[in-house]
Amino acid sequence: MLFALTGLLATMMVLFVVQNRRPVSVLVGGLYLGLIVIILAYILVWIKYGGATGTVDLMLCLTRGIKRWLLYLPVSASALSRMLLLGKSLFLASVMLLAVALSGPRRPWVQGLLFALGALLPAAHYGALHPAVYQLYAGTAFFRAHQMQLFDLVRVLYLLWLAAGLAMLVYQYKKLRIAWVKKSFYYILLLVCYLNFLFVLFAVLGPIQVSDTTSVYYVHSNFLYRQNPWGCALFVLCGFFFAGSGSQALWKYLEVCRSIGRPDVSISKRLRDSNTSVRMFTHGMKNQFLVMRSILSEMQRDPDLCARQRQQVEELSALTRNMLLRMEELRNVFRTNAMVLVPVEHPAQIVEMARELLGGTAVPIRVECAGERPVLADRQHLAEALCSVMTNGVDAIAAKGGPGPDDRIEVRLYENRGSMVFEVKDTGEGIDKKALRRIFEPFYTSRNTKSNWGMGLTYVQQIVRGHYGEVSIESQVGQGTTLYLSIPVYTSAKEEG
Amino acid sequence: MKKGIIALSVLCIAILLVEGLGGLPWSGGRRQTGLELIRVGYHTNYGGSSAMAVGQAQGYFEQEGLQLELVSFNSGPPAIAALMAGDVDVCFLGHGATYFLLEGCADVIAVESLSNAEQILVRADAGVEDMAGLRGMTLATPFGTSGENFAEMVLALYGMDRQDLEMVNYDVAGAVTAFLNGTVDAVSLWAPYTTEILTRASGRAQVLEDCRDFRDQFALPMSWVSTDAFIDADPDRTVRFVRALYRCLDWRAEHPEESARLAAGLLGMGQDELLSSLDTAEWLTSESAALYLQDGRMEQWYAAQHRFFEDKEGSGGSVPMEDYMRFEILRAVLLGQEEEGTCSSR
Repeated sequence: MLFALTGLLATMMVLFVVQNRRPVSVLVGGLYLGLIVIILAYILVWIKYGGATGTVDLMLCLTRGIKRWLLYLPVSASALSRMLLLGKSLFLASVMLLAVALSGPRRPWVQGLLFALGALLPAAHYGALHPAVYQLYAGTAFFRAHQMQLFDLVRVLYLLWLAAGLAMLVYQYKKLRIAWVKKSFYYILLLVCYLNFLFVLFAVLGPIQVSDTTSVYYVHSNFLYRQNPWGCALFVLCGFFFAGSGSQALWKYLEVCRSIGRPDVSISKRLRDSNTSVRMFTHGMKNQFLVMRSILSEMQRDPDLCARQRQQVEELSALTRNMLLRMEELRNVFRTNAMVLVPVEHPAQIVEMARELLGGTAVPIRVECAGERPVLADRQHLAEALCSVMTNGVDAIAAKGGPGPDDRIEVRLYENRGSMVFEVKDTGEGIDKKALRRIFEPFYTSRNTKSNWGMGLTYVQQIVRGHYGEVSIESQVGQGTTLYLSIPVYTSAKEEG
Repeated sequence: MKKGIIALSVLCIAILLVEGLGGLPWSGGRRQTGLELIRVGYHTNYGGSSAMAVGQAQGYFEQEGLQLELVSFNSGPPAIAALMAGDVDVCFLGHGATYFLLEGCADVIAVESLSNAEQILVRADAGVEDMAGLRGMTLATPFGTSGENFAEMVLALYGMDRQDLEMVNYDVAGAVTAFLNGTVDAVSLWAPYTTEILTRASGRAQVLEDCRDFRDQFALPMSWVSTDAFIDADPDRTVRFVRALYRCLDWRAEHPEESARLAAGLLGMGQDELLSSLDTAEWLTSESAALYLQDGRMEQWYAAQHRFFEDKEGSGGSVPMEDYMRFEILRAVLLGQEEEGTCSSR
């Protein structure tokens, strides 16, 4: 049964790391790996040192053959102890480093210090309980007299460590403002909770070290000796419940990440590759349209054209002018790499600039600024990006037949986790989940008209990425769309101390 | 859904706390059959299991109003740990773990046998003729067991100690594999594991030292032990257990092959494997135990063990032998000499 539990943990670990290729995945993987090593170590301890009835044996090992194979594995007591310590240290380090990584930002030196502590203290734990080191102090009179209390102290320290990590995550969770970020964080928090419970079940309740079986105090609780099959069944069920609930939280987290329209690694690579091709393409096409414009201009001067032909030439000329403008726009999108980033003390000014660029519109625009921190930005480009988003919102409202009395666009500006967030929310037709995944692709649009070539959000993404920020999107069909443009807060070297 | 998960989580945590802190109150006590339950830890060898196997088959313990719940252990220290944790009431103890008696962890309530089971095996191609040849080599043995104890006693006779070689702590089965695959040069174990090595090694292993060769120099008693709390809570119960135990030992002495069959069934081993263990000890009966008790030899065996472990470096025990040797129980059962607070005979 416990092998099935480790199998479940291993599967979820691989799934998460493969599906979510971010640095934080390594730390979540560390949590899972630590637990797997701990459980396998205890399985070996159970089998090699005995202490279980036949029914309990069945719960642990499935078959007599597996038990015999494990029993005869040439694993010394020292190796078993090191294995257990490694699992515990890996879990403790991963849980704290994950908490530090997710609960930023902080001053760099504080972040560095916390990372160092998160890694070094578990390493010190490994060293202090390493069998070779343990031998040095285990025989002392003080240790023999107080071994139970000292091991209890170690257990308490484990619990305090876990509590500290959880506290940091909960504190960070409460500070989040963006709905989808909060939702994905919630699932990570839940996952860490359940994995912590698993750690408590095995590593806190179990023996602290197993290399010195000559000491009677190497077992403190009745953890290892599960004669009662019901007790053992409950124990295993608890393990499965925590692992299963953690897996469910993990799955939900992956679903949330998939459902939002954020450019992922594959799309960004496509964009990089497409930049050069598009520049070449637009240059070539522009030249062709210039030739067309010249020919049409000559045709317009021909006195022999009838009224109908003249009208057709004029329509073609208008189309050609339009195409030239679009080619120019397209070329600019992929040429935009010459932004000048300067400190902008009041990002609300950028919102005002965007509002002016948008011009007159029947859709009411509400602007709300809740706290301002300076950002490093190219005002003009960022305002254009914001205006593009607002334009999309206007178009979305028009597409559903609006603006109605409840239709509006809300622009909010606030700080969140070290970034200034420009949130633009419309009450338009919304975007379905399938389209949401492609919304940032160039030339992708749900409204293919002669004035909309699907470049708006691509442009926005280019601009925001140029500001070292990120764009994310939420949408519900029939209810509307919210875009978040996050730009890092600018702190000068003087402020950082 | 959320509330359901939270409720289940709280329930699991509550169960964790109860299990972790004290265990649920559904083990021990009186079974519905009216028999008193005793949880007994036995060892996975002939000596440590045959009495229990015989007792179950012959019903001797039930006749004394007792029902046994058996738990297997591969060596003494984990069994003692379970005893201390309250998970077993009585357990088998090899002579290698005698220091637990000095530490006040358990009391001897019955003497099972004098061990002949221990052997030191070495690889045939190691070129080792005696213990002196083991200098600088690795020897695997489970620490705190009769294997380690035997190795140290023999080393002492050669004027050596454990510092002269590298003693590595392995569980008993792991030591077998480590020896067979060449990870270690020698092992100090007991039957049937030594038999298993000699069989599987097919001539690649040889016996360097055998416990039987040292009978004149030291005796290695194997005991059944329990805690003060269990014994003093109901001395009569302990006496009834020991009485049933010696009936098992008597039957075993009269039916050795059948006892091996019963023990093999309990251990899930082949009978042949255990038959080869029949000569690995002087198996006591109620008659021989009574004789040794009366003429003082039993006390001498344990006194010698007490001295050995008292002098052993790193030993922390200091409980006097009189405090952990429950001779009053043995006298009550074997000699019919009741003392106040022990028992009423049946």
